[in-house]
Amino acid sequence: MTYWYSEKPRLASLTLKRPGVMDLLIKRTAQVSTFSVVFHIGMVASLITGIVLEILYFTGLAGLFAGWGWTITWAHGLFGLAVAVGFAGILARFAGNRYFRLASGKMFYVDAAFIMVIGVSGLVLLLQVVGLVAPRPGWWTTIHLVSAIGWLFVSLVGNGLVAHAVATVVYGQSDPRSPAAFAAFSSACAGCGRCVEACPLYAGRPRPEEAPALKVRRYLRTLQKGTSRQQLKAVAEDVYACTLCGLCVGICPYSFRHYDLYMALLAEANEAGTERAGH
Amino acid sequence: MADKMKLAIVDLSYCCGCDIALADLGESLFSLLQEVFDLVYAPLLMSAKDYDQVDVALVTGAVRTEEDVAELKKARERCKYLVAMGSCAAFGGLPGLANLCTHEEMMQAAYRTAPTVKDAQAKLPADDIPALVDTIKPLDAYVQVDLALPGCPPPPPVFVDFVKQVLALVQG
Repeated sequence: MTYWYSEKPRLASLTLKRPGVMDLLIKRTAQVSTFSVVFHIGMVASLITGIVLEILYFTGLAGLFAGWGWTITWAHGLFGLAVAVGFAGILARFAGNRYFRLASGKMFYVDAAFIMVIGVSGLVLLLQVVGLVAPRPGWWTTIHLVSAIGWLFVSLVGNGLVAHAVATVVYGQSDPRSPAAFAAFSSACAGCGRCVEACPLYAGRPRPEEAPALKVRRYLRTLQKGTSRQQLKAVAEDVYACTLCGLCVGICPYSFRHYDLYMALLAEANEAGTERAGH
Repeated sequence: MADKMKLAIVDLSYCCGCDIALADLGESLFSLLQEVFDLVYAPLLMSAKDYDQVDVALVTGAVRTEEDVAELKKARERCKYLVAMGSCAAFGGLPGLANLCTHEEMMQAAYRTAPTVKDAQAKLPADDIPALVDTIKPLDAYVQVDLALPGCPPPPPVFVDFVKQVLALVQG
């Protein structure tokens, strides 16, 4: 017997209950890919060590470590390598999985470009630190630092990977069925694409479409801009092309309640004078 | 081989799709019956009239009437693990769309204005039928739900994975 899904849908949990942040970071991310876990751990650790390095450098407190400051530099470099390995796996998945591409959106390219600049400059600095390249302080440090800070800012404002990290923490604190959780999730969604892969409707669509979180983000943006009722109706109808089967809730690593979100949008669109689904 | 678990399928207001998905397992249903569970109650698939204590109750369908509330509470008392199976039980499913309109509008659409209605003047059913609950809510609004299996209906391979994991849980 053939089914609509290309891969057998695998439930993220048996309960549909929302996981904690650490659960998300390790267990749920591992369900998507091992490279992703390596990337996340490397990124969190290298950000922390990077910030510590900057504080030590600019405050001149490095002397406090009594000659052991190099351990932080090395740790930063090794965690950076983990980021590079993890990101290579993520890029491979991006190239090979169309659902991941559909769910990631265009901001992924901006994030990827920044991470590559940070990675290449970091690699040169690491080679200098281990002594394979003659140490030449100056440009590479500046490129590494400026691109890292630039990425944090651009990706946060542009709803990229940094916004995904911040919104994940915010989402974890909100009531799962509240509008605040829906808004937070539209940024928190990691774009893994598993919902798109499992959805019976996406498979039946004549052209490839974006993942639910991206559509919801578009809807919220349209709502924010204060648009005409007609336009809002069009966007809302686009979002709720859904049979309410809820399989995506079981598949989603966040256990995000897509069902409740669609029902809220339906109710809102209903009030705005949109035709009800099925009529 | 370890003990199988006792399984009951409790149906509330629903379309039978979840039971049909179970039958859609084909031959693999037989191996599940041999290794994973004993089906003791499933009104659509077998002729058991009632059930006693079971390990797992798969509750399908939405709570639409007072009778559903009573059935659900009975299932909660008689099982160790209550599973909300299918979208209706886990979230509200398609019956949840009725929350977008009033009961009157819903009855009008079903018995008066739907294109398939033959006699729009016929008397609305009123006698000896259970009262409707106000709004459709997921099962966890009424009783404690231990596990949930989404899908409309849950795809058969997902169901197989799910019951195998539940068996491990029951066996502790």
